[in-house]
Amino acid sequence: MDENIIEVQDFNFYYGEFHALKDLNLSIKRNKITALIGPSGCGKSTFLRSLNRMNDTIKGTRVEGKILLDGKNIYDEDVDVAVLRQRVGMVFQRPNPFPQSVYDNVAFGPRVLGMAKNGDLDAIVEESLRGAALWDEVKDRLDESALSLNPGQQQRLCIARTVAVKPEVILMDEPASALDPVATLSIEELMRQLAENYTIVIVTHNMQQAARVSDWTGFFWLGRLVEFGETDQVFRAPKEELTEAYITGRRG
Amino acid sequence: MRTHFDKQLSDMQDEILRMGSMVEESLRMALGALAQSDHETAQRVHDFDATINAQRFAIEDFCVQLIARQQPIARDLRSIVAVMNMIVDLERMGDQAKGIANIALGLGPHPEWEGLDELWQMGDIVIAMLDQCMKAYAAHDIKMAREAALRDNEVDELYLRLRRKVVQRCAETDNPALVQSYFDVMRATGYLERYGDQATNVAERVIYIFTGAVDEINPEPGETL
Repeated sequence: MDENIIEVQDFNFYYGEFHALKDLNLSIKRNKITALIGPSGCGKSTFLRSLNRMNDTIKGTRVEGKILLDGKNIYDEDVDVAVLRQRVGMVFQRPNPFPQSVYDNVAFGPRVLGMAKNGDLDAIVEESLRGAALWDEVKDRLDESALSLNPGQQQRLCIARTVAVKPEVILMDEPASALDPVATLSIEELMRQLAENYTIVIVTHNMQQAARVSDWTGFFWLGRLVEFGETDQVFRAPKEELTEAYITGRRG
Repeated sequence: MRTHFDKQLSDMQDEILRMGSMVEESLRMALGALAQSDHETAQRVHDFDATINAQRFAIEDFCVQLIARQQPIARDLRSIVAVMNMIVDLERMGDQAKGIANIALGLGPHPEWEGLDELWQMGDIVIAMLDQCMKAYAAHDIKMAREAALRDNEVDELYLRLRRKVVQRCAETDNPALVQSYFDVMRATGYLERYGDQATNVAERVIYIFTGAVDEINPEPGETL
């Protein structure tokens, strides 16, 4: 398999007249954690949502260029967006479990996609909850409402729900910003474990989190990708003055 | 919880222990070469110094990466800062071993060193000091680190005793070759004395990791020189 799972080529994105993403070119490495950092409004979340076409639902948007997932442009007309979003899942900033049982939350996707035959669903639910490091905490509470879990558990439940449909890429939009430091660390540890099987792209305002958790870092500024490199390099010796100014807090 | 960072800290510890073994082995070989006038081993020690220096920079690089990426605080921060200081001393201890190897490289048979046992005793003690420092570091044992550092007093005493002997012998001979040879003894001893001082510094850093206080155990280690 190619080392790069996603190739972004001359990608531009517009909200109506507003040119939100400008001439992006980068490669997302398979089974690595890529962090996207930059100030509010720099385009990092727009870019994240472009990776599974979540922006399609916003009126008046348009794209130029390509985003190749395993060589296939996800913006081609013949792409089934539902299939794309199964392959490229997303975890949001605030835990958003459905007001259903823990079990049904995780089983939702596999049921819709008809993934489970007979008793397989139980196995998928267990495997997904284990994958999200939540199984031991909820195995006796599967029938309880997901809303009875604490926020850190709810976020891991959302990760389990994403993992349940066996995606290749998991997008995370500020997945820990609504959590306390302990729950944050547990999500970060979980990301490391998940990276063994999935490719992760995370948007974070928390630069320290990007430094701690990611393998690759991209710095966005005014819709451009100013710098993209291995996290070690970006946080130790950024190549661009602007990156240095931003990550050291001299400019934001 | 934070298993990744803990793994990195433990890797850092492994690397410093490895560097400690390298520096220890280097001096052991250098002293063997000095005793036997073994030029081949002396050359190996001389060349090995580059490996020790490379290890120092590899550890330093790793520490900088940890600081940049993990934003360490409290004991985590102290242990990284301590390691960044320890590697400087360890690298210089490697230089002392190389200095002794260089003396060995220029040395023929030297029966006139007979009876200068303090030289070899100093070598044994400073090697044991470093070994004990590394064990204290691995075991988080402040008491052991302090005991290691205090052995530097024995080294200083041996140094003074040896110097008196050598001065006496120099006074009793009119053979310039012998005086030159005794001069080499004193040079080697000087390297060992500094090796002991630097082992003391390493011990102080180990104590700092666990107490947070910089505690100078032998405040004036160079006083006797």
